Amino acid sequence: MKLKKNAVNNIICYGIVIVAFIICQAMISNGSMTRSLKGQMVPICVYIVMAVSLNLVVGISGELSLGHAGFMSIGAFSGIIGAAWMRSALGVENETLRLILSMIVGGAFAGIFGVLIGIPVLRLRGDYLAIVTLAFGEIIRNVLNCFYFSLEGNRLHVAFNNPNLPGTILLNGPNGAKDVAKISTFPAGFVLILFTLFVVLNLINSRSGRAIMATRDNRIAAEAMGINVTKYKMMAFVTAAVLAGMAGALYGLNFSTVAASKFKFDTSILVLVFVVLGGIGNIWGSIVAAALLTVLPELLRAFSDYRMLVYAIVLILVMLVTNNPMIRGLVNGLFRRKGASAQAQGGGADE
Amino acid sequence: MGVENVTIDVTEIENGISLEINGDGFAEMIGAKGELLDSLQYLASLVCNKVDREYFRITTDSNGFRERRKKQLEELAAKIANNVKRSGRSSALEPMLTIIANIVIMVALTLFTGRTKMGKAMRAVSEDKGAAELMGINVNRTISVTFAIGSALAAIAGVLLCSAYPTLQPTTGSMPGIKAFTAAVFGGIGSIPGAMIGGLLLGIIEILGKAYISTELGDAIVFAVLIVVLLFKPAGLLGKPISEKV
Repeated sequence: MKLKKNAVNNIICYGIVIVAFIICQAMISNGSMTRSLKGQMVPICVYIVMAVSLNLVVGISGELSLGHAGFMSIGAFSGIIGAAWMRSALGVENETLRLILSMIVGGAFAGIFGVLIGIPVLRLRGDYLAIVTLAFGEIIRNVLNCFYFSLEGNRLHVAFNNPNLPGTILLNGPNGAKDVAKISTFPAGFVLILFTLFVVLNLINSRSGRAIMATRDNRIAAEAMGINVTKYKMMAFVTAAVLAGMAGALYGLNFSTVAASKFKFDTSILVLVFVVLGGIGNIWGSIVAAALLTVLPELLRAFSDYRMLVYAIVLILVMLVTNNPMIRGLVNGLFRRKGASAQAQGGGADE
Repeated sequence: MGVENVTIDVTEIENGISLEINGDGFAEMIGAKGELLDSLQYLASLVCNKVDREYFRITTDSNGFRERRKKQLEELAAKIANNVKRSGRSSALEPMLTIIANIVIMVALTLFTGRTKMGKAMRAVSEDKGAAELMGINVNRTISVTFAIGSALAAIAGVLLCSAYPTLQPTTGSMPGIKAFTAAVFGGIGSIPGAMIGGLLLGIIEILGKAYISTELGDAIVFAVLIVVLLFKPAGLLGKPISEKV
């Protein structure tokens, strides 16, 4: 039975994730996974979700977004505050339930901001859109640095630039949140990845997805065919924002102190590197790239002081090698001979 | 260190001591503005005032340098005051090096991209790479030259930044880098005078915002202004709106 190209791509995506999860769970229960790697499991899941959601904006929708870490931070802080409030005000003690509800809260807030930001951003093109998303990311970080949240019994107190609040302080301005209950788990991350893949792959292979790709390939032709460009670009942008918010909530609930300075412009660029390295528009590529590049600093521990230098060199070498026309021809020839087609969805973005 | 026969005479003054330093060639080492004397004074006062008690004053002098310097400064002040009285205009002591360098570089760069062959090649490559290659322009070389010029100018900016804020770390340039990108877009991509105006405006807005509105939200105010301007002028202040041919 010959499988269609889309089906093969989907199977590869889900397959990689499920196989990797089984292997990692086996290693963890076997005890053969190093402690540092175990601590990296949840961040790997988070960065995979971030990379896939950014790929939706950059690869499928064709817009360079440099402010993705802003949505992650909104998700993180709203998730943390939501979890703390649920525990003391609503009395929800079950950690898994709290985690799921916090992720939903984080995703919802990030989605709201995605809509608010998308309205001015998506009427610009190219470099200007990139700069405006960068600007929004920095504004979000700056403003979050000034917020003070505290919990007093059942009531939530909010203050701007005023550290004197009753009750237990949840969010302490520039110091961020501390004493966060660490309720994130690796299976929860895996479920989030599966949910993300479900949403993104179904969006791409649907009518709306094809409309989004049409606006990426030739905006004027798409408009001439009656596609509402703004609506579809917003669809991609807000979906990516919601997924980034959920990932952010998972990330925030994994550490006991979370400061807004963790979600700077550098984090946005880091996620963009995952996307570009994995192939713009290539979903399983960004999954693999995100996982590999997150563990790479740990693997390079042997180089001690020169770790980040070697990291950068490895990145440059990988980019040069995978974009070398000779090697590309070789790989494509191999796949063509085998009869299965493994071409990336985002082939049109190459030009 | 090359200074022979150093003698230090200590005399007690009110609240502290006065050190009279003398040596061969020491007078030359001090320099016209006496910075070496000032630094020795500062270091000595740091050491003496480590203990928690009333401030212990230390003054250093060498061969009556302080007396001469005082007379020098008084004469300079009188001269400038006379200049102002005569011409009726205000007079500045040191030129504004940064602004002058700015204007010179901007004019040079505008002439370069507008008139020279390499500048025209750059503009051609940015507009249509394939057509430029067909016209015989070496695209790779042109792009490399563009990167080189951009990096050199960034280095000049780094030197000017460090002479204003003398701290230097490997990460000093990251925030100015983001602000530079923002300023270029603010002024309009493709327009060099626009970039200069964008940079000036952005700097002024940032400092005034930090001073009058809020220190923590300074960056946020700058970016908010950028977003508002881009909403009304999508191509930046002096940018040319790119029209697409179908």
